[in-house]
Amino acid sequence: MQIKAEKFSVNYDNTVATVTFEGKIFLNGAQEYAPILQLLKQAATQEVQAQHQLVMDLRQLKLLNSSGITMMTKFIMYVFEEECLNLEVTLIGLTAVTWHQKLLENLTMLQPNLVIRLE
Amino acid sequence: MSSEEQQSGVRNLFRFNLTNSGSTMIIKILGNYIEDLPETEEYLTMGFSPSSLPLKKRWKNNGISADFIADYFQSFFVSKYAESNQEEDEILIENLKSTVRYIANELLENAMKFQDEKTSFIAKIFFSLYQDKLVFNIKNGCHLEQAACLSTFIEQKLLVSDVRQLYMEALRNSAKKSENAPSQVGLLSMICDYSAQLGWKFESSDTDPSLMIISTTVCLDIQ
Repeated sequence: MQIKAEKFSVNYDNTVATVTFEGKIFLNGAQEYAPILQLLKQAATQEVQAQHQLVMDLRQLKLLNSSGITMMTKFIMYVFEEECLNLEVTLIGLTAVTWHQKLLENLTMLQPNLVIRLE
Repeated sequence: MSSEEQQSGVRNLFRFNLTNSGSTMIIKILGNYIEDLPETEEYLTMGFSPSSLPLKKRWKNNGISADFIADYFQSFFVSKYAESNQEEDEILIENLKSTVRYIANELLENAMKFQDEKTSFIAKIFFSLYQDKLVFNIKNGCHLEQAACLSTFIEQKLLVSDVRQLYMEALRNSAKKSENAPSQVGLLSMICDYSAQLGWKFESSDTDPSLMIISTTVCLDIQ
């Protein structure tokens, strides 16, 4: 599954249970983020049956606007609270990128069961 | 309640701290608003006419403009102030560039979202470079109701609460909403994630009584 636009791509590879984000994502509000949220939910549903884990790789993500932060929060809350999915979610970011650190830190504060990895 | 009465009610929210400022009336200043910026040799100004393009196209332009401002920052800051090319400096500059891009994009998005398309008021963003700080100032016109909503949030929540806690609440709440209600996640992330100092000036318009002109300053210390 893949969503590709001029400035970004979001790619789900089920062989490695990973959704990779690349580029700059500055879509307008929940409506425009709905396809990405849908992709994440589908990946989560699939991995509950398969590898019981899902990796979200943000290392190549250069910009995520506040609506994108909200979308990620929405997904994390969905996995851990709404649907009670038995899934380990790992977020990978870069230590050198301050906003990656902040985003991962904030999402962990909202959901302590989230696994974060800074490289 | 008629729409005229509603508008009058909203207008009352702003009826204090009045001072004259040329053709407009300053109604309120909140937060760390920077009224008089020191002179600088390096600055950038961009203007956006609300009716020039449909919102969808203008939205895409926000990203292009934010990239442009970030590239401008990198080019001028590095040539003027950076002293070495060590890896540590490169990481620092790259992070500052990301910060400039994020803040410029958020400010432009907010201005576009709330800009009254029926007026000819041109939204403007000013970006000034100093040795120890970067300052954004964005000016846009919006409906009185939206201005009142922002002003209430700033006065009753932002300026009197634990901002970090407010940010976490905003994230939790916005994740539960399906519609595009103003979550203020953008403003809160600038303060909490980027240590930005924000301030606002609300002014009435001398040509349109249903319009409020909002100037927002965002200051980043870079020393």
